Amino acid sequence: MKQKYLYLTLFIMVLCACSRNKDEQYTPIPPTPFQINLADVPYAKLSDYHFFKGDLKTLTPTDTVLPYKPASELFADYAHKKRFVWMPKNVKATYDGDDNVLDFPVSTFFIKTFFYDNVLPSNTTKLIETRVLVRKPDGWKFYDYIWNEDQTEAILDTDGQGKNVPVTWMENDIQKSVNYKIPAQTECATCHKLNPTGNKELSIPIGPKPQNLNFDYSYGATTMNQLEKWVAMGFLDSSTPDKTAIKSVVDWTDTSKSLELRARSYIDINCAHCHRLGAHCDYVPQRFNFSNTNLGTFGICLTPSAQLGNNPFIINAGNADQSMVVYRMSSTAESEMMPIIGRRLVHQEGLQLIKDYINSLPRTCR
Amino acid sequence: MKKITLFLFLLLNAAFAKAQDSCSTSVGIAAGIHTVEAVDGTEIPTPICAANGTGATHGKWFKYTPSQQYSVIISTDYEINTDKDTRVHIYTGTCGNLTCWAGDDDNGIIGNGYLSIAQFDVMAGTTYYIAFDDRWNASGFEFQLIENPYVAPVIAFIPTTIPTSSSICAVVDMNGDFLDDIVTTGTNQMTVLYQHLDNSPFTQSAYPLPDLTAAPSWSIAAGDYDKNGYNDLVFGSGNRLAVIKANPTGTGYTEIAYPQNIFTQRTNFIDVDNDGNLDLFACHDVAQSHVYRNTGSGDLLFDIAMFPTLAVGGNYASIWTDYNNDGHADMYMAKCRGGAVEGDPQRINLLYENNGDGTYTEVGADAGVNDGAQSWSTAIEDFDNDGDMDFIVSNISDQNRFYKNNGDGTFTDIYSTTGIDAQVGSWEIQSGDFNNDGFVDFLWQNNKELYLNNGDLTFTGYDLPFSEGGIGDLNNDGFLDVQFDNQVFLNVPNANNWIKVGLQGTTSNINGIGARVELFYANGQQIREIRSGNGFSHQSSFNASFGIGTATTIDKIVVKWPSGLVDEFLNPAVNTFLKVTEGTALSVNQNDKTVDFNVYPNPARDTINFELDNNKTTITDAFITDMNGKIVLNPTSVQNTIDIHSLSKGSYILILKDANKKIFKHKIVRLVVG
Repeated sequence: MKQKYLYLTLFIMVLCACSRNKDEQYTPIPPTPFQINLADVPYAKLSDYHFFKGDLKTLTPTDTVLPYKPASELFADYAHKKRFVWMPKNVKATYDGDDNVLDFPVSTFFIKTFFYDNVLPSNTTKLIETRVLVRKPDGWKFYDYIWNEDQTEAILDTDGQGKNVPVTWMENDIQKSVNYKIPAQTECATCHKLNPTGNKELSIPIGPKPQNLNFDYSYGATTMNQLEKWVAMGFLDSSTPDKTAIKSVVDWTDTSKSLELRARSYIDINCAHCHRLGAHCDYVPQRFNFSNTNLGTFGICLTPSAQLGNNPFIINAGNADQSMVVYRMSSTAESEMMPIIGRRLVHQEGLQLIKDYINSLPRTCR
Repeated sequence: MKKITLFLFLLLNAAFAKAQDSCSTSVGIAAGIHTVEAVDGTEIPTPICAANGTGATHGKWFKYTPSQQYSVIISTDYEINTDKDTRVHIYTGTCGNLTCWAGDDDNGIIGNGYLSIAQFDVMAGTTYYIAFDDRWNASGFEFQLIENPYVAPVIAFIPTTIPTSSSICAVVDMNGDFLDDIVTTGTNQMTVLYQHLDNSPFTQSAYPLPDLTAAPSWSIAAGDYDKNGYNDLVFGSGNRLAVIKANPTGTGYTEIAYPQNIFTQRTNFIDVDNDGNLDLFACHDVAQSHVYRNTGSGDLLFDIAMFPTLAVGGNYASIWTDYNNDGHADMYMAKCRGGAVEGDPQRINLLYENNGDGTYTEVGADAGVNDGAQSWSTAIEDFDNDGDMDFIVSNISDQNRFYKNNGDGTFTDIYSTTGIDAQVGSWEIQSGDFNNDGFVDFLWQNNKELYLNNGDLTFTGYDLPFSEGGIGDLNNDGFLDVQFDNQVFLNVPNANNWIKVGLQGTTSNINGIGARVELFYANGQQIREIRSGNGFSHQSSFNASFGIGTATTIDKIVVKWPSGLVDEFLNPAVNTFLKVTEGTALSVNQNDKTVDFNVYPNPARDTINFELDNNKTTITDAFITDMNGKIVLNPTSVQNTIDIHSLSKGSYILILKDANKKIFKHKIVRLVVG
């Protein structure tokens, strides 16, 4: 019996070997991301990059294009996101602090697609935009690819003026509508910038920080800590601190974690890209980054620099209804709402988390 | 006997204690010291009249009916109460239907600072309910009620409610009667509340704006750019702006949408090239500001080249002002950019000097107003009435600035001597003479919302229940009111006198935007400039409002139009509205006395000659207008001779401008020899 299977196995192997040889005589393998010419980027169409194979809208990654996810996500009017990272062989990102974006090499790409499921009337999935961030020799560049109605391709936005896409969908059995906003070119740098040294504004990605990536992600057959996976893929230098040493955020939807951890994680990803040192609104005192251990500058009992409504403190401990963060998170008035751009709807679930967190604090603000 | 007395005494005391436990059983008190044994009454004081919200579970109640008007203090801030923690609410109304009148939690300074001091005025015969609660602590304490002589408030506003609401406000005349109306907006619509004479109620009209591409979510400005007699508007949002154009009767509005993305901040209708037509300027938060050129046939075309500014963002508030008194509107730009280093052009304020020929030169550094802090807004007025415009820059970082105009193109920061609190953080600053004493005051969002000008370059701060809004006269009583959200705060008039001036341009833009109105009276001189889009986000009245204090006469009002024409009114009536139509009261023969100006022959038949003696200057422009200010002859090249054959017989004005931007005018007469 064993011998039979051995012959069978050998037979199949020979067959396969023969097939491979046969293939090499036919159409060459389509170009892979390995053959991206940075000087030609941005390409006119998303498919030109060859990041994905098969039906483009399935966003099935080729080769070493790697899916990833931050532990807590930025609210984008309930849009879902699929995120991928890729960089060429033989270059790696390096660690630059738990709470800072990794230092990525030139030719690193981030590919992030925004979409809705259960879109009415036909309960379909609708892909809206794919944002491509690429590190060129002179810095990070931002490109936006807008999906066509047929969902067969995403075309580079060369207009750059922003676009409204009305969407109506079912969100957990509740019908919601939004005039989804694809950003204008000049809006990217409002959030995607940092001046870490006080000398120069730099364009940056926001999500891929060790604090955000440090959890187990399912890669299909295997599940692995993302930082370890990136090291294994050759994307991240192995001198990165061990996963147990990195002060990390949690998934704010994970109710097994403390309210404080969940709220701090939510606030970091939704607010700290502007409200941290060197960012777009660092001239007001609150510092919302997860790594800020000073609760006073984090905002508890902190007097806001601008008065709105009856909210004497940024976070009025024990009193969510008179906290400035709650006021601004509840607002959709452009000059009052927070985040200042990037959403048009109120994130009801996130708002509830922050209210619960604030109300759980002892009333100490006078 | 003694036992019974004691028993009765205890009974009375028990009754007394219970009597403070609710509003309806509150104890009447007079001025003096009172003891609260414990805050243990069952009725929790509601509504809450002090900071720090809910959480109280008990109250203690008193009532107080003064026999005359007083300024009252209720205080627990005494040494005997050290380590106690009190909160107090003072109500009017009736038990079960109370309205907050005053209250306090932590005004005290003794010990931990948690004792209370409430100060408020009371009226004779009104009953006030005083309730302490245990929001922080139920322990007993002593309090004092002090009656001080009533002092009338320096300034007061009465809140009234309007049927619609807007927090980006436009208080401006929308139907051409020079009475300030209120514009509010909603989804795909706008509503105008029209003011009428005689204080009859505002009437309301809703105008649909289907598929509106931009709500006024960051700013609103007004201006009649197509000169049909009805003001148009511009709505500025975080990604678009839209022009809202009035139909020829002011009974309907159409949106003019623009495809360009713009994170709009301050907008202004302003005649950039001084061709008599209003163009549009729009600040862009994250890129170069936008300019829209008036074609002269009712269109505004996107055209940044018309007034190129720095090709960077951080543009928050553009205020147009003639800072160097040359008759041309210049522009000061407050700039802000988080994450930008000091010295980054995205955050350094700019001063664009109008060269008078359609071009502008940035001179902020030379002028000394190139503040590099994070600035959102500037109030520009002649705060010291010395004949030139001063700038108060409201910063969010570092320090605020009070740039006093030195009169020579430069400014000096005198903020530290003004008495204005050093607090930064107000994104809005607006100005007006709110008490009509002849000195312009300002309004902002820092702790003291209103600063009244003391007349000596110092200011005194007052608390207000509002901090910004559309400023205008909403009950036609000559005192400036403010609209914000669904409220109008009506200014309580005092005995000061005033005058309001409304402009109607003919050669210049119809609103007189960019015009300067000067008032001369016994106490000196005042200036107002007519602006579309003042402060950071709102539109206030186009009428120039002047207070003249106790003076009862005005020597003259002078209106200097963007066209160069000057109208003059001697001894106008006070406490009323003066409408000025361009060219109807031209002040002629007003020349700079230091330069001799000859016009000959006059009357003339074929040609008119002019010369300026002593070669003290050169002429750069020469034109002739009719007596209404309408230009009838505008030679393309400037010679010392103008051919006037084409003019019919009659009187005209010859206007010359020199290289120093001074203006000379002379009435001329054309004769036709039959």
